[in-house]
Amino acid sequence: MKREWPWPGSRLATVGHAKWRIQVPVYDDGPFEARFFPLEKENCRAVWDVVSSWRPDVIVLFLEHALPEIPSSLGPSLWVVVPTATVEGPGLRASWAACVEALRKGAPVAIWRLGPIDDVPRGAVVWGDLPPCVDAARIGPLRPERRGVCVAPWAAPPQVVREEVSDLCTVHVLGSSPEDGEGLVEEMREHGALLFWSKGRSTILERAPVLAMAGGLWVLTNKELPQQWGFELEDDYVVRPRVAEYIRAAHDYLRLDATSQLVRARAWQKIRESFDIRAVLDRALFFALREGDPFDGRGAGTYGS
Amino acid sequence: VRVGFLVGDLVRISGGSNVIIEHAFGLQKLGHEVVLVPADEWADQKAAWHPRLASLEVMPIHQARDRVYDVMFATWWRTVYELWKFESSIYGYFNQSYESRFHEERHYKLLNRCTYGLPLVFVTEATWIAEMIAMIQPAATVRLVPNGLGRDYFPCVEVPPSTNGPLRVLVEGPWGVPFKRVRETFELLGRVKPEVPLHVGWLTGRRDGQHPIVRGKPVEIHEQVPIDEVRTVLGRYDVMVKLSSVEGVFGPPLEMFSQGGTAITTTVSGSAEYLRHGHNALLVEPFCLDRVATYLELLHGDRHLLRSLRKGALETARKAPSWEESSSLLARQLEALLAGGPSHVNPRPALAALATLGGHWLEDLAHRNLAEEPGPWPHIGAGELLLLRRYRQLKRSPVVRSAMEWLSPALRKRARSALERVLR
Repeated sequence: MKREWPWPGSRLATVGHAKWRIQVPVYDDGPFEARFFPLEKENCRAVWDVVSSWRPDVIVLFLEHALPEIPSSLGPSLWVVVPTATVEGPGLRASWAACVEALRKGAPVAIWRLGPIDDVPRGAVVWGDLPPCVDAARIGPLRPERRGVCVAPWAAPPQVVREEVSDLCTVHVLGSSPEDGEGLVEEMREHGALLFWSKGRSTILERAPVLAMAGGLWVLTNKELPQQWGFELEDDYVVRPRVAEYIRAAHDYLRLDATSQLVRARAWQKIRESFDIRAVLDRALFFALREGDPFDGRGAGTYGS
Repeated sequence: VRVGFLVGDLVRISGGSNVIIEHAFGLQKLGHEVVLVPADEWADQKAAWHPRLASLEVMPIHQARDRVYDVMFATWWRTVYELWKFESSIYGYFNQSYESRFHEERHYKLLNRCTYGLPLVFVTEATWIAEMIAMIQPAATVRLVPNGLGRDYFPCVEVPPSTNGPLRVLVEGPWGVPFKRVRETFELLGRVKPEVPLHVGWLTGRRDGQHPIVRGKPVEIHEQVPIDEVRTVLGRYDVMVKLSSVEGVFGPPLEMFSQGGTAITTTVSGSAEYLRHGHNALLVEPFCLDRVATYLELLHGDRHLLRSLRKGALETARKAPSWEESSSLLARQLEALLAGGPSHVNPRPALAALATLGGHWLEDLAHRNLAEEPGPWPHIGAGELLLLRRYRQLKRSPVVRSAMEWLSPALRKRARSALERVLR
């Protein structure tokens, strides 16, 4: 069976904790219908029943916990499993692998890594790394007139930086939690710059710079984003690992912001070019669903990895 | 209309120069007075790669500035700093990319950004550039003039050639330009399963003496091919692989389309202008470059898909405007702007001030004691600065200088290429 994605009436369900909502497509007027089903530990069974009754062709699952039994009525063409940071813990690996195996009985399974995953379950196929994408259509236009500075409390620059910057402008501390991606973007969009100081922790905590760029902010950070994501240093965002340089860059932004406007514009465009989940999914699925069984004859880790 | 184009380099093969040459030729054909003005010293060098150059007037700055223009365009970003030298009704910036990305040096990046600082008349070929300028410089006049496809050099074939035998893959781009990712492209081709037969070619304006090998076989090299012969090379391949990380609007995939081939490209800036995933090409995000090998395996195994993409590609090429249409649009835009009178106050003094400031700053940087001061390069450590300083001292030394004078330009070029190979 050959099917070209998307076919008329095709449906894509994304299932996961509400914190992933900002980076999944949600629409019913695009080339395919896409819905997000927020999943909590407590409501698993009920959510899967709803998903099942919607009859999606593709399910993208942000896998965080061991899954309950999947309703037998659910028979999608393809499962795309995105293991999240939580499943990296050694204790959860076994259950993660078991879930994938269970899903494989009924349908092909692809793995899209959100973070470093050492163990790939046997038989599953790796699509590669999925950086923190966004549904760009749900994030508004660039707001160049917003110039203020914000910091994320879980990745705040050292005190000395905040003191130096406070001399020139008010520094807003974001109130949204790192898990509330939509709230975070909405709040950040009121400002012009994010000063981020990475402590190199989980994916969910580290996605703020990308969300900020999607919202049209100038991003200053102490560590480079993964090179394979393709963001260009100085042109899309600014990295200053040493405190003194970090302060100088922040001052430059505040005093000479005409040049940072270009950085903001380019980063905002870059997100739309390469990190818009609608297009990313569309491309990946077009490829995967060329065949009825997209993984026919291929072993673990050989597909797109 | 009297139009001048300040250009960076006409001698080397470049897509950006091709666009300017085509527009200059097109405007001249429409009866306008056109002159190309190389910003660097013009030693009357022959640039044989583009036949249109022979019929265009090329003049060094010191001569060209004696004339009065209706429109004087800067093109390559550094030529913005030369605009003030000319008397013109309209000062334009024919902007083909965000060229800050061509440089690693922060001072060049900052100087590049300053070129967007005045509300000049911006003409661009790319929607994303027009959008970017409108965002950062709302007072500027921005006109979008999509590039044409040279019907003389790239007439569309009737039907895509047959697709039997090994998949014929053409890599396009110069060696040694990191954002063109040519080296990485050959590495990625090496990951295609051995049972998938490939014939790999490389179309390049510059290969720096490289002889790439893919899966044990040497790549067929097409170097410094004059533009009027490029189509014969393109027609011998099924798919072009071009994985740049920086582009304005790249022309080679569209030229490939005209010869019935398809393309695999990155989702680079400008790709949205005419590339449609699954219709005329396959697109890959920068974080999924590994997928290139599986795309090629798919194209080899699914000839129906390959044929469908090639058909879509040819349709796209047929719909693309010709250079005549594109230049006519540019001419109409310029005439309308001139008829409406200048939309800005004379920016010439501001351009002069900008150029003066930029020049002084670069001079100061050159004279700075790099080893003792922190300098403007935050990622270069003291050791690297010391090496750089020693290297510059060596280059300035009488022995090296006299040796360089003694060597012919061709030998100097070869020596430099050899040194670069060793250092890489």
